[in-house]
Amino acid sequence: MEATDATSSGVQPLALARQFLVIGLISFGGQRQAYLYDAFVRRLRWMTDDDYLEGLALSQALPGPNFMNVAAYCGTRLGGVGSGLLGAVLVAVPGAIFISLLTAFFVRFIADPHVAGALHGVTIGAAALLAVTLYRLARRGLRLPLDVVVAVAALALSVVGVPLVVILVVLGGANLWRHRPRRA
Amino acid sequence: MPDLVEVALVFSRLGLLTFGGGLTVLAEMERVVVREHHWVSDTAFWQSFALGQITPGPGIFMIIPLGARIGGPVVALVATIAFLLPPTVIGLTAVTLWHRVRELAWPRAIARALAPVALGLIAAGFVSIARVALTDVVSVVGLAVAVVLLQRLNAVTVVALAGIVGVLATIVR
Repeated sequence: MEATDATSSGVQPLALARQFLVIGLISFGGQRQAYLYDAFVRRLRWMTDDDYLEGLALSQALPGPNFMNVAAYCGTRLGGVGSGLLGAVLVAVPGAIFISLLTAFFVRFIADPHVAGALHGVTIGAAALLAVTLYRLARRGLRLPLDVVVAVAALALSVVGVPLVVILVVLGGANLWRHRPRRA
Repeated sequence: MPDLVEVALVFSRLGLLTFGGGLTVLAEMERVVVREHHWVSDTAFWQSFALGQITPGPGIFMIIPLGARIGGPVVALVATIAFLLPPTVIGLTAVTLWHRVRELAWPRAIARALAPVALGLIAAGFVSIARVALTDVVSVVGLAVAVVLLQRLNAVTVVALAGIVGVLATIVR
Protein backbone atom coordinates (compact mmCIF):
# COMPACT_ATOMS: atom_id res chain seq x y z
CA MET A 1 0.00 0.00 0.00
CA GLU A 2 2.82 2.36 0.89
CA ALA A 3 4.44 1.80 -2.48
CA THR A 4 1.30 2.66 -4.42
CA ASP A 5 0.76 5.63 -2.16
CA ALA A 6 4.24 6.87 -2.97
CA THR A 7 4.03 6.30 -6.72
CA SER A 8 0.44 7.18 -7.49
CA SER A 9 1.33 10.55 -9.02
CA GLY A 10 1.14 9.22 -12.61
CA VAL A 11 4.26 11.19 -13.53
CA GLN A 12 6.37 9.57 -16.26
CA PRO A 13 9.79 8.56 -14.88
CA LEU A 14 11.57 10.01 -17.91
CA ALA A 15 9.80 13.37 -17.60
CA LEU A 16 10.70 13.42 -13.92
CA ALA A 17 14.36 12.61 -14.63
CA ARG A 18 14.49 15.38 -17.23
CA GLN A 19 13.19 17.92 -14.68
CA PHE A 20 15.84 16.92 -12.14
CA LEU A 21 18.61 17.16 -14.72
CA VAL A 22 17.51 20.62 -15.90
CA ILE A 23 17.36 21.83 -12.28
CA GLY A 24 20.86 20.40 -11.74
CA LEU A 25 22.07 22.51 -14.68
CA ILE A 26 20.41 25.81 -13.81
CA SER A 27 20.33 25.87 -9.99
CA PHE A 28 22.80 28.65 -9.28
CA GLY A 29 22.99 30.70 -6.08
CA GLY A 30 21.72 30.13 -2.56
CA GLN A 31 18.46 28.45 -1.50
CA ARG A 32 18.74 26.00 -4.38
CA GLN A 33 15.85 23.83 -3.18
CA ALA A 34 13.58 26.69 -4.31
CA TYR A 35 14.17 25.52 -7.91
CA LEU A 36 12.46 22.24 -7.00
CA TYR A 37 9.51 24.13 -5.56
CA ASP A 38 9.26 26.28 -8.66
CA ALA A 39 9.22 23.26 -10.99
CA PHE A 40 7.13 20.67 -9.15
CA VAL A 41 4.65 22.86 -7.28
CA ARG A 42 4.33 26.12 -9.17
CA ARG A 43 4.89 25.26 -12.84
CA LEU A 44 3.99 21.58 -13.25
CA ARG A 45 1.57 21.22 -10.30
CA TRP A 46 2.74 17.66 -9.66
CA MET A 47 2.76 18.37 -5.93
CA THR A 48 0.77 20.59 -3.58
CA ASP A 49 2.23 23.28 -1.34
CA ASP A 50 1.60 21.08 1.70
CA ASP A 51 3.34 18.07 0.10
CA TYR A 52 6.38 20.19 -0.57
CA LEU A 53 6.52 21.88 2.84
CA GLU A 54 6.24 18.46 4.47
CA GLY A 55 9.34 17.39 2.53
CA LEU A 56 11.17 20.57 3.42
CA ALA A 57 10.49 20.14 7.15
CA LEU A 58 11.58 16.51 6.93
CA SER A 59 14.78 17.47 5.04
CA GLN A 60 15.67 20.10 7.59
CA ALA A 61 15.27 17.58 10.39
CA LEU A 62 17.60 15.11 8.65
CA PRO A 63 21.37 15.38 8.08
CA GLY A 64 22.79 16.21 4.65
CA PRO A 65 22.56 19.04 2.12
CA ASN A 66 18.98 20.33 1.99
CA PHE A 67 18.90 20.56 -1.79
CA MET A 68 19.67 16.87 -2.31
CA ASN A 69 17.38 15.80 0.55
CA VAL A 70 14.43 17.72 -0.89
CA ALA A 71 15.20 16.31 -4.38
CA ALA A 72 15.17 12.79 -2.88
CA TYR A 73 11.87 13.56 -1.19
CA CYS A 74 10.25 14.92 -4.38
CA GLY A 75 11.52 11.96 -6.42
CA THR A 76 10.27 9.41 -3.89
CA ARG A 77 6.93 11.15 -3.65
CA LEU A 78 6.47 11.33 -7.43
CA GLY A 79 7.97 8.03 -8.57
CA GLY A 80 9.07 5.80 -5.69
CA VAL A 81 12.41 5.31 -3.97
CA GLY A 82 14.33 4.67 -7.23
CA SER A 83 13.24 8.05 -8.54
CA GLY A 84 14.21 9.56 -5.20
CA LEU A 85 17.76 8.31 -5.52
CA LEU A 86 17.83 9.33 -9.17
CA GLY A 87 16.60 12.82 -8.22
CA ALA A 88 19.34 13.31 -5.62
CA VAL A 89 21.97 12.16 -8.14
CA LEU A 90 20.67 14.11 -11.15
CA VAL A 91 20.44 17.49 -9.38
CA ALA A 92 24.05 16.96 -8.30
CA VAL A 93 25.86 15.53 -11.36
CA PRO A 94 25.96 18.62 -13.65
CA GLY A 95 27.32 20.80 -10.84
CA ALA A 96 29.91 18.16 -9.91
CA ILE A 97 31.21 18.08 -13.51
CA PHE A 98 31.15 21.87 -13.73
CA ILE A 99 33.13 22.45 -10.53
CA SER A 100 35.58 19.63 -11.36
CA LEU A 101 36.52 21.39 -14.61
CA LEU A 102 36.85 24.70 -12.79
CA THR A 103 39.00 23.02 -10.14
CA ALA A 104 41.29 21.49 -12.75
CA PHE A 105 41.81 24.96 -14.23
CA PHE A 106 42.47 26.76 -10.93
CA VAL A 107 44.74 24.08 -9.45
CA ARG A 108 46.84 24.07 -12.61
CA PHE A 109 47.38 27.83 -12.62
CA ILE A 110 47.34 28.41 -8.87
CA ALA A 111 50.81 30.02 -8.93
CA ASP A 112 49.71 32.66 -11.45
CA PRO A 113 49.11 36.02 -9.71
CA HIS A 114 46.08 36.77 -11.93
CA VAL A 115 44.46 33.47 -10.93
CA ALA A 116 45.23 34.24 -7.28
CA GLY A 117 43.57 37.63 -7.82
CA ALA A 118 40.49 35.96 -9.32
CA LEU A 119 40.28 33.60 -6.34
CA HIS A 120 40.60 36.48 -3.88
CA GLY A 121 37.86 38.30 -5.80
CA VAL A 122 35.41 35.38 -5.74
CA THR A 123 36.14 34.87 -2.05
CA ILE A 124 35.10 38.47 -1.35
CA GLY A 125 31.99 37.93 -3.51
CA ALA A 126 31.16 34.72 -1.65
CA ALA A 127 31.60 36.51 1.70
CA ALA A 128 29.14 39.18 0.54
CA LEU A 129 26.69 36.45 -0.51
CA LEU A 130 27.00 34.81 2.90
CA ALA A 131 26.37 38.16 4.61
CA VAL A 132 23.21 38.75 2.55
CA THR A 133 21.95 35.19 3.14
CA LEU A 134 22.55 35.64 6.85
CA TYR A 135 20.64 38.91 6.94
CA ARG A 136 17.64 37.40 5.12
CA LEU A 137 17.57 34.32 7.35
CA ALA A 138 17.88 36.46 10.49
CA ARG A 139 15.03 38.73 9.48
CA ARG A 140 12.76 35.78 8.84
CA GLY A 141 13.95 33.41 11.57
CA LEU A 142 14.77 35.47 14.66
CA ARG A 143 11.36 36.46 15.94
CA LEU A 144 11.64 35.60 19.64
CA PRO A 145 14.32 36.97 22.01
CA LEU A 146 15.29 33.42 23.00
CA ASP A 147 15.95 32.58 19.34
CA VAL A 148 18.45 35.45 19.26
CA VAL A 149 20.11 34.11 22.41
CA VAL A 150 20.40 30.63 20.88
CA ALA A 151 21.81 32.02 17.60
CA VAL A 152 24.40 34.19 19.38
CA ALA A 153 25.38 31.27 21.63
CA ALA A 154 25.88 29.02 18.57
CA LEU A 155 28.00 31.73 16.91
CA ALA A 156 30.14 32.26 20.03
CA LEU A 157 30.69 28.55 20.70
CA SER A 158 31.59 27.92 17.06
CA VAL A 159 34.02 30.86 16.88
CA VAL A 160 35.92 29.72 19.99
CA GLY A 161 36.26 26.28 18.40
CA VAL A 162 33.72 24.12 20.23
CA PRO A 163 33.06 21.00 18.09
CA LEU A 164 29.82 21.13 16.09
CA VAL A 165 28.50 17.90 17.58
CA VAL A 166 28.58 19.50 21.05
CA ILE A 167 26.81 22.64 19.78
CA LEU A 168 24.10 20.59 18.04
CA VAL A 169 23.48 18.34 21.02
CA VAL A 170 23.53 21.05 23.71
CA LEU A 171 21.91 24.03 21.96
CA GLY A 172 19.81 22.06 19.47
CA GLY A 173 18.69 19.72 22.25
CA ALA A 174 17.79 22.54 24.66
CA ASN A 175 15.93 24.39 21.92
CA LEU A 176 14.11 21.22 20.86
CA TRP A 177 12.90 20.85 24.46
CA ARG A 178 11.47 24.37 24.17
CA HIS A 179 9.75 23.57 20.87
CA ARG A 180 8.77 19.97 21.68
CA PRO A 181 5.35 18.97 20.36
CA ARG A 182 2.75 18.86 23.10
CA ARG A 183 -0.28 16.65 22.84
CA ALA A 184 -3.45 18.69 22.60
CA MET B 1 48.67 13.04 0.57
CA PRO B 2 46.73 12.28 3.76
CA ASP B 3 45.46 8.80 4.50
CA LEU B 4 42.33 8.16 2.41
CA VAL B 5 40.60 6.31 5.24
CA GLU B 6 41.11 9.32 7.49
CA VAL B 7 39.76 11.64 4.78
CA ALA B 8 36.70 9.39 4.40
CA LEU B 9 36.09 9.33 8.16
CA VAL B 10 36.48 13.10 8.56
CA PHE B 11 34.13 13.95 5.68
CA SER B 12 31.47 11.34 6.50
CA ARG B 13 31.36 12.74 10.03
CA LEU B 14 30.92 16.25 8.59
CA GLY B 15 28.14 15.03 6.29
CA LEU B 16 26.27 13.49 9.21
CA LEU B 17 26.61 16.75 11.20
CA THR B 18 25.06 18.87 8.43
CA PHE B 19 21.67 19.94 9.75
CA GLY B 20 19.70 22.83 8.27
CA GLY B 21 21.68 23.14 5.02
CA GLY B 22 25.29 22.88 3.87
CA LEU B 23 26.24 26.38 5.06
CA THR B 24 25.86 25.33 8.71
CA VAL B 25 28.80 22.92 8.51
CA LEU B 26 31.33 25.40 7.02
CA ALA B 27 32.83 26.61 10.31
CA GLU B 28 33.21 23.03 11.59
CA MET B 29 34.73 21.90 8.29
CA GLU B 30 37.28 24.71 8.49
CA ARG B 31 38.03 23.86 12.13
CA VAL B 32 38.71 20.21 11.33
CA VAL B 33 40.36 20.47 7.90
CA VAL B 34 42.45 23.62 8.49
CA ARG B 35 43.11 23.95 12.21
CA GLU B 36 43.01 20.33 13.38
CA HIS B 37 44.53 18.43 10.44
CA HIS B 38 46.41 21.27 8.68
CA TRP B 39 45.52 19.76 5.29
CA VAL B 40 45.08 23.16 3.56
CA SER B 41 45.40 26.87 4.46
CA ASP B 42 42.32 28.84 5.51
CA THR B 43 42.68 30.85 2.29
CA ALA B 44 42.53 27.69 0.14
CA PHE B 45 39.53 26.53 2.16
CA TRP B 46 37.47 29.66 1.54
CA GLN B 47 38.57 29.86 -2.10
CA SER B 48 37.06 26.40 -2.52
CA PHE B 49 33.83 27.59 -0.92
CA ALA B 50 33.74 30.56 -3.32
CA LEU B 51 34.11 28.26 -6.36
CA GLY B 52 31.04 26.34 -5.16
CA GLN B 53 29.06 29.58 -5.35
CA ILE B 54 29.62 30.13 -9.09
CA THR B 55 28.66 26.61 -10.17
CA PRO B 56 25.17 25.07 -10.28
CA GLY B 57 23.99 22.27 -8.02
CA PRO B 58 24.64 21.68 -4.31
CA GLY B 59 27.10 24.25 -2.91
CA ILE B 60 28.64 21.47 -0.86
CA PHE B 61 30.54 20.45 -4.01
CA MET B 62 33.10 22.90 -2.70
CA ILE B 63 34.49 19.62 -1.35
CA ILE B 64 35.76 18.87 -4.89
CA PRO B 65 38.20 21.85 -5.10
CA LEU B 66 38.92 21.42 -1.38
CA GLY B 67 39.77 17.73 -1.80
CA ALA B 68 41.87 18.54 -4.88
CA ARG B 69 43.89 21.05 -2.84
CA ILE B 70 44.25 18.54 0.02
CA GLY B 71 45.65 15.75 -2.14
CA GLY B 72 44.42 15.64 -5.74
CA PRO B 73 41.45 14.16 -7.61
CA VAL B 74 41.31 10.88 -5.66
CA VAL B 75 41.01 12.71 -2.34
CA ALA B 76 38.33 14.95 -3.90
CA LEU B 77 36.33 11.90 -5.00
CA VAL B 78 36.67 10.04 -1.69
CA ALA B 79 35.79 13.14 0.36
CA THR B 80 32.72 13.93 -1.76
CA ILE B 81 31.33 10.40 -1.67
CA ALA B 82 32.09 10.08 2.06
CA PHE B 83 30.27 13.34 2.77
CA LEU B 84 27.17 12.65 0.66
CA LEU B 85 26.58 8.91 0.93
CA PRO B 86 25.51 8.49 4.60
CA PRO B 87 22.99 11.38 4.63
CA THR B 88 21.57 10.29 1.25
CA VAL B 89 20.98 6.74 2.52
CA ILE B 90 19.42 8.08 5.74
CA GLY B 91 17.32 10.60 3.82
CA LEU B 92 15.93 8.08 1.34
CA THR B 93 15.19 5.58 4.09
CA ALA B 94 13.43 8.22 6.16
CA VAL B 95 11.36 9.48 3.23
CA THR B 96 10.34 5.94 2.26
CA LEU B 97 9.32 5.06 5.81
CA TRP B 98 7.59 8.42 6.04
CA HIS B 99 4.58 7.24 4.08
CA ARG B 100 3.73 4.85 6.91
CA VAL B 101 4.07 7.26 9.82
CA ARG B 102 3.19 10.71 8.53
CA GLU B 103 3.64 12.30 11.94
CA LEU B 104 4.86 15.82 11.22
CA ALA B 105 4.94 17.28 14.73
CA TRP B 106 8.51 16.12 15.50
CA PRO B 107 10.22 17.04 12.19
CA ARG B 108 8.60 20.48 12.42
CA ALA B 109 9.78 20.88 16.01
CA ILE B 110 13.32 19.80 15.05
CA ALA B 111 13.37 22.19 12.08
CA ARG B 112 12.17 25.06 14.32
CA ALA B 113 14.63 24.21 17.07
CA LEU B 114 17.57 24.02 14.68
CA ALA B 115 16.80 27.23 12.74
CA PRO B 116 18.45 29.71 15.19
CA VAL B 117 21.34 27.29 15.82
CA ALA B 118 21.89 27.09 12.05
CA LEU B 119 21.86 30.88 11.84
CA GLY B 120 24.58 31.19 14.49
CA LEU B 121 26.66 28.54 12.72
CA ILE B 122 26.37 30.32 9.35
CA ALA B 123 27.40 33.55 11.10
CA ALA B 124 30.48 31.74 12.41
CA GLY B 125 31.24 30.76 8.82
CA PHE B 126 30.97 34.41 7.82
CA VAL B 127 33.37 35.51 10.57
CA SER B 128 35.83 32.96 9.27
CA ILE B 129 35.58 33.81 5.55
CA ALA B 130 35.73 37.55 6.38
CA ARG B 131 39.08 37.01 8.11
CA VAL B 132 40.46 35.53 4.89
CA ALA B 133 38.70 37.76 2.34
CA LEU B 134 39.14 41.16 4.01
CA THR B 135 42.88 41.70 3.75
CA ASP B 136 42.91 45.46 3.15
CA VAL B 137 40.68 48.53 2.78
CA VAL B 138 40.04 47.80 -0.91
CA SER B 139 38.61 44.36 -0.08
CA VAL B 140 36.28 45.87 2.54
CA VAL B 141 34.99 48.34 -0.07
CA GLY B 142 34.66 45.45 -2.53
CA LEU B 143 32.54 43.48 -0.05
CA ALA B 144 30.27 46.49 0.55
CA VAL B 145 29.81 47.02 -3.20
CA ALA B 146 29.07 43.30 -3.70
CA VAL B 147 26.41 43.42 -0.94
CA VAL B 148 24.71 46.35 -2.70
CA LEU B 149 24.92 44.63 -6.11
CA LEU B 150 23.35 41.47 -4.63
CA GLN B 151 20.13 43.43 -4.09
CA ARG B 152 19.89 43.88 -7.88
CA LEU B 153 21.80 41.09 -9.61
CA ASN B 154 21.78 37.33 -9.06
CA ALA B 155 24.39 35.69 -6.87
CA VAL B 156 26.45 33.97 -9.61
CA THR B 157 26.80 37.20 -11.59
CA VAL B 158 28.02 39.11 -8.54
CA VAL B 159 30.51 36.45 -7.40
CA ALA B 160 31.84 35.99 -10.95
CA LEU B 161 32.15 39.79 -11.36
CA ALA B 162 34.10 39.91 -8.10
CA GLY B 163 36.50 37.37 -9.62
CA ILE B 164 36.98 39.51 -12.74
CA VAL B 165 37.61 42.59 -10.59
CA GLY B 166 40.15 40.51 -8.65
CA VAL B 167 42.06 39.77 -11.87
CA LEU B 168 41.92 43.44 -12.96
CA ALA B 169 43.26 44.49 -9.56
CA THR B 170 46.36 42.33 -10.04
CA ILE B 171 46.96 43.91 -13.48
CA VAL B 172 46.60 47.47 -12.16
CA ARG B 173 48.97 46.95 -9.23
